[in-house]
Order: sequence, then C-alpha cells, then structure tokens
Amino acid sequence: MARIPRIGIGGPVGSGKSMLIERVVPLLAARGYSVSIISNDVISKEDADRMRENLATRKGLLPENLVIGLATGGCPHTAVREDPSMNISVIEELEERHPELDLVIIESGGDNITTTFSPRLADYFIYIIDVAGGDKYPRKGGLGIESCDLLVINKTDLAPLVGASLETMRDDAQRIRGERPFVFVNCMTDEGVGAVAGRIIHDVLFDSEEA
Amino acid sequence: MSTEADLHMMQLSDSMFPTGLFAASGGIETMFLKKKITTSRELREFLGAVITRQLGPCECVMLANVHRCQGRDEIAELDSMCHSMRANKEVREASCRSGGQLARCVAGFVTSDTLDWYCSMIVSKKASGEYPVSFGVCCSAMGIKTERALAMFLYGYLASSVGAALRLGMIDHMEGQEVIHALKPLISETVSESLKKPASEAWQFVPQAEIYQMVHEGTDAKMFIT
Repeated sequence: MARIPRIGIGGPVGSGKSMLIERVVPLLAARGYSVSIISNDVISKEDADRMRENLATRKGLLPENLVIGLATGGCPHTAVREDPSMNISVIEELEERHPELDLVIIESGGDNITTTFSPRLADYFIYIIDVAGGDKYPRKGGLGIESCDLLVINKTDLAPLVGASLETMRDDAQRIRGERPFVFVNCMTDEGVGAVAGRIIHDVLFDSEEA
Repeated sequence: MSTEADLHMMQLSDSMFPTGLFAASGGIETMFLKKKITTSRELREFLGAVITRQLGPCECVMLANVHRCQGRDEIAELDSMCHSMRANKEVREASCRSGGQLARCVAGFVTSDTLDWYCSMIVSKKASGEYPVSFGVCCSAMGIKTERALAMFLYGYLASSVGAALRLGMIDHMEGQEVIHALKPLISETVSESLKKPASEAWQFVPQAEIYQMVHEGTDAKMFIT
C-alpha cells in the first residue's frame, strides 16, 4: 500500500485554514492532482460540510466522500500531534480505498501558536495566521510559526482596518524564520494563493511549479 | 509482578498512549446535551451501569479469553464474536480504529509472533481489530497478567469517560477524581467476575447507552467521535 503525501494545515481559530484549502484545491485539481481533505474540528461537521459543499458538490473537484470530518474531543493539537492515531487510521483507509490519490490535506482544529503536526501524520506543515490577529504575530513566535515548512499570513486586506503593519510582519517573519518561506495571502481575492499551491506542488509533490 | 511488568502496565494504561480514546465519549456527550446526565453522581451511576452490564460481562470476558487462549483460530473467532456484538456503527468503527492502532504501536516495540500475526490479520481485513481483543493480544505479548489487563482496560474506559465529562463541562477536575475513586471497588469486583467466564457466557444489556450512541451518530455538532 503506497503512502500518499500528507500536508497538515494548522493555525488559530478563524485564521483561514478552511478557506485556504478551498482556494488551493482548485489550483491543484487544475493541475490534475487528486486530493482528499480531512478536517479536524471541535465541532466536527461545520468546516468539512462547507468544503464538501463548495469543492465537491458545487465544483465537482473531488468526490463528496473524500472530504471527511473528524471530531477531536476539544483537543485539536492532541489529534494531530500527541495522539494522531485516529487521523492515521482514516488516512490508511483512504490509502487502501483510493490509491489514485496524490495528496491528503489534514486540517487541524483551530488552536494556539504552539500547534505542530506529528511527523508521522504530516510530511509537510503549513501554519496560517491572519493579519487581524495583530502584527505582533509572527514576532511572538511559537512552535507553529517557527517550525512550519510554510508560514501563511492571511487577510492582508484587513491590515489598514486593524492598524497592522505588513512591513513589520514581513520583517519579523524573516527574522524569526530565516531561510524558511512565508507567504502573504488574501484568500478572498486569491492573492498569494498560487504561491501556496506552487510550494505544495514543488515541495510535496516534487513536480514543477509551472503548469 | 516485576517492576518491568508494572512499567508495561503503566505504559499501556497511560492516557498519552496513542489509541485515540481521548476522542471518544461513548454516548456521554449526547446524554449530557439531552440532560440525561448532568451531575457527577449521575455520571458515576452511568459509568457503573456500563461497567457492570457491558464492559464486564462482555468485553472483559472477551479480553480474558483472548489473553488466555493459545490458538490463533480462537483469537480470530473471538475477534469476530466481539465485532458482531457491537450494535452501533460509530462505536464499532472507533473500537476497531483504536484496536488497530494499539496493536500496531505495541508491535513496534514488542517482539511477538502472535501480535505480528494479529496485525497482519487486521491489515488483510481477516480480523476487525476490536479494541478489547487487540488489548488482550497486546497485554499477552507484553507479559501482563489477565487480571491486571482487565483492570487496566476498565480503568482506561473510566479515565477517558471522566475526561470526556470534564471537557464537556459536566464535572470539574476534583469531581472527576472522586468518580474514578468511587468506582474502584466496582472495577475490582467486575474483574473477579469476568476473569474465568467462557466467551459463550458473554452478554451485554445497555439499551439507553446504545440508543444515545446512535443519536450521537446523527448529530451535526459534536466534540467527540462517539
């Protein structure tokens, strides 16, 4: 049974994890990649139902049964780090039933800045924060911001409305992360989303970013 | 028992052992939301009923028989029997996933032909991987005695259920420990009663819990997988 590459997406509540997935999956599908989504949530069906509706039912980008909601008992980080057995079990069932899949995206429930994924669960870790949380992020650091493979800073359009400086966030992200990448995005307009998809295609699927 | 055997017990019964039980409430979530259980006293009574009418006479009996038996055919038969007695889909799937992950995890650090065989049976879909059966195979592979294995199994259920009640806001952390402490004599008694019974005498009767487990399956907003 072949191991399908896995991406973990974590971040605070409301940072845009589900929205990022909804924007990135169509770009991956356009390149011919088959994707499944596992959405961990404290309230299990909300995000999964929305993504299933938008990506599967309306757009037909993947079968409805490949968007899976998992309840986490109120412990988002436990389900993706300390005890990822439930997620691993579901992914192994996917690997058996859908060997044609190219990628599994695992969304963590909204959590704090120390969230990380077990390396047994996710091969690549995207951490997403949003500008509306204040430009103190990413300066405050935290395991998620510091250790992820790709830091995504979402909702750039809200910067002037909340008095956040994108320059400050850029400088702090560079200082905190060194050579490791970060991307500014606005999921509402798709600004920067192509760069996230490009990273996934290049770094996880080992393909050329150019179509 | 040796100190090493004690440590085996502690490792398997530790709440950080990765079997996914933290995400299960066994119907407690629905019963709380429907106001059927709202206090630590009611929780204690519910857990006591499940222990004496399901876990003890059914799952512990299965576990003890798995632990005792020598033949693989018998383990496969007990696995099938245990699986067929799960009335609720959500609970059945959670039990098999937890059991499968438990077996695989223990097989990663313990050498046992029987455990390796059981893991291969799960992978090839010839065994369900039901948690009580997997727990029995793993305890046997680790040299944990039957009586201790049963106590650990029941304690694991008790601790994870109290944890679920705590996260639901039904009880506080002090009440949780009081519930666990209060049910220790019942666990001890249940272990003694389950220890020697043949699998043919296994039974269970917890209709209220099973009905609420089924209601949970159709609930949109929920914190737990069962």
